[in-house]
Amino acid sequence: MSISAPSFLYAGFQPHGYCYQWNSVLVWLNVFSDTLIAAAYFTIPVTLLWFIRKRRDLPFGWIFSLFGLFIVACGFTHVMEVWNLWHADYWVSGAIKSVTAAASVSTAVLLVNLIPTAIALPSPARWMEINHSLESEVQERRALELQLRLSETSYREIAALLEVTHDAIMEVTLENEILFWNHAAEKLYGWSKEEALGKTVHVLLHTVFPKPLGEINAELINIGSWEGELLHQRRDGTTVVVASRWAVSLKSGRAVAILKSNRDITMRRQEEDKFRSLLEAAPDAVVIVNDEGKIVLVNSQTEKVFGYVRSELLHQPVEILLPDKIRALHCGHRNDFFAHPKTRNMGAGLELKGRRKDGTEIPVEISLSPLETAEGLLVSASIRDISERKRAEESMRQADDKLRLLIQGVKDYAFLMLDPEGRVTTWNNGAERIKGYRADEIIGQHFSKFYPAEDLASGKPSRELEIATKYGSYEEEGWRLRKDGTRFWASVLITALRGKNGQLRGFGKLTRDVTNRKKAEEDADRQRQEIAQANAKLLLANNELESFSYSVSHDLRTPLRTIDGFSHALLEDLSDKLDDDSKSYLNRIRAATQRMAALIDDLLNLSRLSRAAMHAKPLNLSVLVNSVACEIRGAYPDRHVELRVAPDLQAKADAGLLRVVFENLLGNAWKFTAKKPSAHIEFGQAQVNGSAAFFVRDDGAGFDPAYADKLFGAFQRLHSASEFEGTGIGLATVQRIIHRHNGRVWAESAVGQGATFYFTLNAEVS
Amino acid sequence: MRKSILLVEDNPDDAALTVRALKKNQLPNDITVVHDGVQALDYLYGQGSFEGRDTREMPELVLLDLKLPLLDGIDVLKRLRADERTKLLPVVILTSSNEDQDRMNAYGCGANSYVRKPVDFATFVAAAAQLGLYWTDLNLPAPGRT
Repeated sequence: MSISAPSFLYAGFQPHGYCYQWNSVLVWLNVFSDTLIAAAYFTIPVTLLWFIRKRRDLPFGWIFSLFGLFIVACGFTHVMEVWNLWHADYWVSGAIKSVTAAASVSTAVLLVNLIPTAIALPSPARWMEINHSLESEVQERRALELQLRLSETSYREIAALLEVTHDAIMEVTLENEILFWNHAAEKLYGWSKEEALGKTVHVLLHTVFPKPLGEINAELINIGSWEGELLHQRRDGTTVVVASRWAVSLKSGRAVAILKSNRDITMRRQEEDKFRSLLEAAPDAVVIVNDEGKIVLVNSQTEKVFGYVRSELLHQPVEILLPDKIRALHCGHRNDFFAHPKTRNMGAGLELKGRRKDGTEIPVEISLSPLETAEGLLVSASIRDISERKRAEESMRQADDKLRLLIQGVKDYAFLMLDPEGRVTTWNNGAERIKGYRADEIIGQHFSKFYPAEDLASGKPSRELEIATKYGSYEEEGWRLRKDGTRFWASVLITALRGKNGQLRGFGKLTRDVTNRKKAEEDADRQRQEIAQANAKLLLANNELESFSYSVSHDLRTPLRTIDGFSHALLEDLSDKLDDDSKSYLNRIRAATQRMAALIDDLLNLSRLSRAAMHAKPLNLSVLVNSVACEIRGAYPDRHVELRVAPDLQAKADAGLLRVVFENLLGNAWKFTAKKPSAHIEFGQAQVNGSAAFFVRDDGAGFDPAYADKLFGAFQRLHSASEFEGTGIGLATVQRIIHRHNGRVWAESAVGQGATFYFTLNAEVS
Repeated sequence: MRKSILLVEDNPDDAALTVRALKKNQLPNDITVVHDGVQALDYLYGQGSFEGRDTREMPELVLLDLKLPLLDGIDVLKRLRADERTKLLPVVILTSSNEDQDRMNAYGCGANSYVRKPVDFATFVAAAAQLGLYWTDLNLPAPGRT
């Protein structure tokens, strides 16, 4: 048969069969092969299409489509190969090839890009593994189902159960589209079932994951389940903390969906937060231990006290915090506690030690409380570091010891303690020395032993304790007895000692032997009394002296007046009958009486100066001397005296008394220079034996220095009355006045050499 | 009417000498001498031993010693000053004492003058003359007295 095509059909080109020279075998071989290829190429996409539809879960569905297109295109090129054998429609063929080329190049390029992603897909072996685990889960579920069936619980009942549970239960597709949404989920999130279904769960609930979702998914795929805490947002915008459990839902060993159960733990989390801040606020280290003795929780105080960081302690046996040597023992105690848990202090009365990370041991106080929790019985140990307190106690104890030693060693004070009934409980060296008892003789005895019989009779010892109890202390001086019965004068202080709550614990008694002081005081008293008596006598004598002076002034003068008066009367009345001798005698009588009157006046003056009140104040002696000299000069107008007065000599003195002094000294100077036609008198100040002395100097008669000490006695005269008149009282008066100024007066002279009278003044300003 | 002086002086020697001294000066005065304070008051108030004396006749001057038996000079002075009849009567203290205390007391109680008796009789005479002259002649007593 001819297989060639009529040539008129195709102007310009010849059908492809010409190329085969219409060799029928070759032509039919090509026809047959191309037809088979095309048929195959047309069926493959159909198969792929069917596969994709069946395996919607598979990634990269589009590449399958692309493959399909490219293969169908290839099929058409082969159909055109058959057609072109007889028909030269090469333009059509070329067009179809170009379409095929575009599809194949695209596929090739996209495939290159896809390969790395495709490589990352789990290998079939991995899938096998997952499938295996899913299978076992499926088997478990089957067993469960079986059980359910056995308990005659129907599927409906399970569905109903899902609606009554408090946990939000949902099923989502692998793309996280919500497939199932129970009643609790509606309640928890505020989205109704209708609203939730078909939504992407994490978008709807604004899920905040504890770690990237990729990791969670990987874990879910690896293990088949995941557990963790998520933050979700409710419809009303509030945040809810959920404990979420995810599991992969399998169908025929393949993951088809994810089952999720979310439990609202917002409240619990808040409670936990509260509990945690409470724990952190606790002043003590708090360590919570489970029944295996493992630490499950510590607060930051624990880190501080023991020097560990939290992570080093968690899940460790609590014995890590104990000294090595008691660790073994502690396990037993711990078990005992778990057997009979009740709140109590640990090791009451014992010195508990904790061990720090650095190996040092610290004194601690521990109180234990059992905690019933969902995770079983836990024990909370509250551990207080009492290092500071121990140190304080130790230093206090040392101070106490020192004090005790000090008290024991004190010799001059008896220090003893009494119990509340008054029995001696302590006894120091001083007590032994003062009272004579040794400690072993007196401790336990009642302290009334130290009191004399009369005090015991009047109940004094117990009265003293009563007063000390009532007012805190009792203090007195009184007689006490030594062991040998002798008395001593004691200064006693009894102090009531009270405990923290004010209960009387006893008395401290401090006793000092002050017998010597008492004696000294008594001596001083006696002396004071004697002085007072002497003073009284002196006062009396003074008063007597005053009345004596008074009677002298009055009574001694009266007879003188009588003598003088009647002598005068005789001289007058008998002037013509008396001879000259008689008249002379009468005149002598009168002179004597007048002289005696002068003596009496001078004596009275002296006495008055001694008694007169003294008012010492700063005084210009030079002015005073000039004033007195002026008066004297007036009384002796015919005398020629050259007076030199040192200017502005100052002293503290009584002006009136010093005037008397100068009247006497200057008067004397005038008097004893009377025989010189031109006299020199000087007042000045000189250093004598280291002290400043004032002086009055004249160049008159002077005196024999052998009698210098007699100058200042009353009625002492070194010159005869006929030579120089005077009563001999003047210098005695001067001396009395200078003495009243705490000063000293003395004179230097030689016969015919003039005289110098020195005096000092040390009066206190009044 | 004669001018009179009352001299109160317990010592008869002193009294005699005082009278002599006053008379020496030819004072025309009548001098009455009493020897103690009680007598002085009796005289002035016309009582006791001077019962019936005409008390309208009061002395021009009382010369009063301080040291007197029974009632001393200061007491007498106080009584005189306390009595309406004699509170303005000139009283001169004539005494041996020159104690400050006595002077203070005398002036404090209303003495008109204080004179210390000098031992020298000549001086005393001179003093008496001045006293008598002054108080009885020169001095004008308070009005209302006869």
